[in-house]
Amino acid sequence: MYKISYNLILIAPIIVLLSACTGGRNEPPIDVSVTPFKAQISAAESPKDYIDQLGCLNCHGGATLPNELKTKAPDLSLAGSRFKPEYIFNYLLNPTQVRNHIGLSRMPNFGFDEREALALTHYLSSKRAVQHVQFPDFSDEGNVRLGEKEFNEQACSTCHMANGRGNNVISDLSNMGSKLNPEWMKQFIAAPAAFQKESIMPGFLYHFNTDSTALISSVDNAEEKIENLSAYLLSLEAPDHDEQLDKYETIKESNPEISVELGQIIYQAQNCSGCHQSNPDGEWKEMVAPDLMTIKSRINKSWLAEYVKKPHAVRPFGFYPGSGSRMPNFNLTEIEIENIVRFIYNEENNQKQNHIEAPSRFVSNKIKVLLDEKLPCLGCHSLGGQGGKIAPELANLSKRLNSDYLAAVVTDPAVAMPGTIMPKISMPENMRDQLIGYLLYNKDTVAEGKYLSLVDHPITLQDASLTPESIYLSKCAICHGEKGNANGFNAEYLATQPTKHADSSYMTRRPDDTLFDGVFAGGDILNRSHLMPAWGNALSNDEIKGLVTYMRGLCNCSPPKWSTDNKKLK
Amino acid sequence: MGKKKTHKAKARVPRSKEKQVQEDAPVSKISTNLKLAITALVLAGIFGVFYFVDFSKSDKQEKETSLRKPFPSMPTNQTVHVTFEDFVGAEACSSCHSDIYNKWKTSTHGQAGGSPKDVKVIGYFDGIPRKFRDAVLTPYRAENGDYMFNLKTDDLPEQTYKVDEVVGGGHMIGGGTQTYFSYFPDGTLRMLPFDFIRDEKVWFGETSKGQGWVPITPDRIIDKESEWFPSRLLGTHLDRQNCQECHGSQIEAKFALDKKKYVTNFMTLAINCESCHGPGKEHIQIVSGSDWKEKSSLGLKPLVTFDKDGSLDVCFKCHSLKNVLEPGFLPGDDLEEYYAVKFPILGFRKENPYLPDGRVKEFAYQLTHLSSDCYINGSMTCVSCHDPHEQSYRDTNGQVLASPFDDGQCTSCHASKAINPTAHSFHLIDSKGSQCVSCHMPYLQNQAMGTHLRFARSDHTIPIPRPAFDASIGIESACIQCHSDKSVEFLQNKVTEWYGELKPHNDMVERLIEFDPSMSLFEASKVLLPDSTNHVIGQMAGLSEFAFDYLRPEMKDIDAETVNRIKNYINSPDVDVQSVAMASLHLIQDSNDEIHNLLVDKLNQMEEDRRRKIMKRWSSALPIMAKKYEEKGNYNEAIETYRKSLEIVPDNIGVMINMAVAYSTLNQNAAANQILDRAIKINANDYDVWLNKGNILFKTNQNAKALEAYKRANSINPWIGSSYFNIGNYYYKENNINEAIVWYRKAVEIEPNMALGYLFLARSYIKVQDYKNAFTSVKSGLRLDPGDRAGNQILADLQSYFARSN
Repeated sequence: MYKISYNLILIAPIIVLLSACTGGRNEPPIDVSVTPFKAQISAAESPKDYIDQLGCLNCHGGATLPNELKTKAPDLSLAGSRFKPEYIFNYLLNPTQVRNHIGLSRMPNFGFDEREALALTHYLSSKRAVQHVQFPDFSDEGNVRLGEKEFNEQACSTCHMANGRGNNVISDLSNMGSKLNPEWMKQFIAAPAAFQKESIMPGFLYHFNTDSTALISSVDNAEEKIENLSAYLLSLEAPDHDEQLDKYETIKESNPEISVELGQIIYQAQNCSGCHQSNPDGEWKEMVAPDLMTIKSRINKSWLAEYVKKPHAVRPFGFYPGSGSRMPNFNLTEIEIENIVRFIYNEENNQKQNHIEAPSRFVSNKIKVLLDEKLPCLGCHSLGGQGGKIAPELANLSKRLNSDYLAAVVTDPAVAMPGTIMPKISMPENMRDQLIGYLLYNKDTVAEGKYLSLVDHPITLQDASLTPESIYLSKCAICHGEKGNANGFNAEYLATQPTKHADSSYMTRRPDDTLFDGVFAGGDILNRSHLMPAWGNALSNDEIKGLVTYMRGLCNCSPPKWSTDNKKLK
Repeated sequence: MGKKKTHKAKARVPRSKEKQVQEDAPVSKISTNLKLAITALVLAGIFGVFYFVDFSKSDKQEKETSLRKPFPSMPTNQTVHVTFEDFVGAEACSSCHSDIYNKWKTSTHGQAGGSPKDVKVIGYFDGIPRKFRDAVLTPYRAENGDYMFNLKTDDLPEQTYKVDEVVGGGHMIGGGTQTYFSYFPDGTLRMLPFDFIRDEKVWFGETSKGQGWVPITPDRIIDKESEWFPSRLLGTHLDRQNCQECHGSQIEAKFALDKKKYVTNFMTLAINCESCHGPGKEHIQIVSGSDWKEKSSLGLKPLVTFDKDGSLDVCFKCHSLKNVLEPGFLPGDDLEEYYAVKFPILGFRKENPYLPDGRVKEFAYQLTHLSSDCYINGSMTCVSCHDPHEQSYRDTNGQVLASPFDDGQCTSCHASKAINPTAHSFHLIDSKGSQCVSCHMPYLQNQAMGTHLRFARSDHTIPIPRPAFDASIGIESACIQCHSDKSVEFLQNKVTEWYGELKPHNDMVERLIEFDPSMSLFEASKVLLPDSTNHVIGQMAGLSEFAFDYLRPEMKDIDAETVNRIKNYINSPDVDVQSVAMASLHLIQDSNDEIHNLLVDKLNQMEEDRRRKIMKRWSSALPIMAKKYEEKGNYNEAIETYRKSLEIVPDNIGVMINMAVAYSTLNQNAAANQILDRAIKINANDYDVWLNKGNILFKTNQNAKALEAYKRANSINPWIGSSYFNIGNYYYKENNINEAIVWYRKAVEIEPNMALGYLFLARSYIKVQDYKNAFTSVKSGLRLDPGDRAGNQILADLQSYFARSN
């Protein structure tokens, strides 16, 4: 598998390659000081290597590291110039291994559906090169046969394979005709460094002039060679190219509303820029996944091993509610899983937990009724698949969670999970204890979480500031909608429609104090939905006041006159 | 304790019992109005196992066309039916739930009553005589430690009562009292009319002549108005004043036909675990098994899961004024099957115990909570603030609070007001005036208790102080509670200055305030019957106001809009509103086939439990209306209304008796007789029926048959004074005066407060020229009813006789 030792295979050919290209000429050597292929990327040696090479910490945070993955994953900042859209589309639906020189890293499967893939394709296709380099004119039609000869006899086949010949050290170029745009291919062969800063592919045939604005040929007939080579490679098409093209075209035509902007936001939400070079508009810097360092205190080892093997939606619409981030499937091997788990649990096999007793059936039934009729939990969480889609499924949590951790979360979420949006819900101690027991041991079937469609639900990327707007967007909008129209992504999973803060006829009958009290103490106290939690333990008075003012802005209305008549004390 | 001690305006009197027959008084010009209507507190509902008699057909002479659908019969089987044997008592709970048990044991409920050995007796049993004008009461301890009362009156043999049970412990902040109960020979446990109040530290009693509770003083006489002779019974008795099931735990009181005595069972006169949780026997059985953890039911319902109204019903079974639909309620039973909590509203405006904004007019319990915004627009229940086990205070999240005055009760919801309390209260922080409850739940004196002794309960309508409005409806506003030196105008101006325009009343309350009885029917229906409202108890008040002021049987020309407004209410989710709306439609337009069938269809669509609850209420709302027609002298309308009630529940003996009495009043004695004969077929052991039958026979000079009926009643229940009295009347009429005297004496022996008994006895003694006994008897009669004209005439005659003979 991946355990072949690259430093032996790879370093040698590069040396050969360089001498082959420069031999016998007096011109200055081509500057190949683009980031050299890093020798340290070798077979993983320790559990930490697995984490690093797979790039877990790109999303999970918990440690800082130089982002080596960007040197391995394709630079997508010019993806539109480079790739054919049907290739991007089909690749997103079913990523496969392309590059052989990038250690354990790989493109994982995000489980995109066709419309999500289309949106991303639109976005990536819009990323086109604005060329500052003067390229030679490669417009003559090349000779396929000469190109094939060139490929097999020159340095190309040292690292690449095509049509069954050559060395598949870097990648197999056999489907290039289905994958790449011709223009880009020619220019890339001429000057890889012009397209991908950290490309390991040398420019064999040209080098830059002094101010890097134009190319100077390094060999005779460079232009012709490129035309021939690309003619050859472009003649190589994937066997199912027509089929893939058809599929792409069909989906594209039947979803005309899917926009570049949607693709961009999905790109950001999935933190694609964590691994791929991209333009600033594709960046999103928030942590999109749980902190790996705390997992051992939270998650049961056996559950985690199962989960990384076949991830499912624990939070169906993003780690931050509404952010849409997903845990992709890396198709991990047994040995990888073993090492990841070993890394996370730090070699400790036994997680110590205080024993919490399973509740009696009577108590279970009681808590179930409270969950269904009184407590706010199922506004965000689901139980046996029923309930909100913001937060994790609550069925049989003893499988997934450390019982001490669960108890700590229910007792005070902000302490147990810094940064969580889950508010602390005050309740009598005995009820809380029974609730914890129920959550751990209920017999509900754990519903395999499904991710919500990133196309059908608006993604709200979080903003760490504590302005009323950002609090509203991060905590309220997921149900009440970004503009207060009760259309947040979670609204459809609630039995009662959330209050429409944009509805001026309703809001104008509500005093500001009532809005404050509802946010502070929850929906139940206003005889509205018990699924609206009390935020009084999670937000300060000033923050709630800010939200009330913000809601007034959404409805653009005033409270009843009598409620504002109160004279202030002199 | 907040026992319901109030005069009879409170008591709904649907079951009329004309037990004394009008006597034509040949000799002495005694009383012109000899009718003594013994008050029954409640509407009889002997809904039970008796066979079905279809009155509608026989009475209506098959006049229905085929288009008219028949009313469905009332479903008989209740889903839940608890029996006394299902209860285990609090001690049985203590081994597993010791923490809760210990909290309860020292709580108000845990100390609400019991045997004098077990509870703290706060009354002064000090052997010091307390003087009435005509009697001396001495509370004392017997040598064996028993708590005793000795009562000496001028005219009666000296009486002593042993305190067998105690109710109350003087716990309540707004005025705590203690009351004493004693067993009587008929098997009843009766409240003695000598109470003790904690703060004033005096013995007092009730006087119903508008004065409420009054301390025992030498200017008071001891008579029926001061609850003399003891007549309030523990438990629900259809024929007597009673305490229902509230002042004790699992009270079961009934007349045992076989023993010819009343049977009174209860676990304790404290309020115990099973009072709220229901019977525990099944629970104990289940948890004694090894597999109880696997059982989905443990034999008790988890009260914490009850919805808002379900949770309130747990408390309302005692903390509310309510009408009995059927006797026999035990904890665990469905309250709505036995009681209608909004039915005390039924009647004319003056009889509604609540003011238009839901506050207490005379006397009420915490049902007023149903008029609070916290209930109507919020989710507040009793247990939002009251810990049910130790009656301590807590906030809506269950966090313990220090006292009944802690702001946390309010601010755990109204958090906005806690940010800067002074900006809202305009009173110094930490002052009494800045406490939420000082302004919003002031202690208001229940007006039925008068002004002599403090009996104030905090206002559970949780109002906004409105000094001017409050004064206009006869309530002291919260402001006056502290600022008693300030005028209403001053206080109102201050409130306006501070708060500007106040939050308006609920729309339904505005309507009840706006209503004026001089409005036309059409105007009134627009005001009182809004299309929709969230204020259900106000809706009930509006509907009641409208029904009692404006509706009569078969109103052919009533406008369609008004009918539609009532029709709209028959879809109410509230069982009381729905049933009264259906009864109203039935009353005014049942002859309209369309309306009739609408009602029938509506009933048929209901689940059985709902249909039974509706039909019980419907059939008992109509007689309350009929009583009002009788009060106005409209006996034909009353009879028609009773007949309609029997269409819904044909075997309601109480309604039949009422109907027979109404017939009898119109001198339609044959019809009256016929109805009573049907009642006898349903239950030949109902002594009330026999008494009334006797009266009608006596009235129509069938004296021998009347005697037979009276004796039948007397043999069924020998503890009813009026049956002796009536037999006395028979012998008097037959001119067997000595025999009459024997029976009259028995009558006043059993009911020593029967003024008429003494007066008739005096009249009889005069006839046999026993003037000495006549004098004693007439004195007793006049002590109980000093205003009786004929009695005073007899006394004057006797006095002048004695003067002459001396």
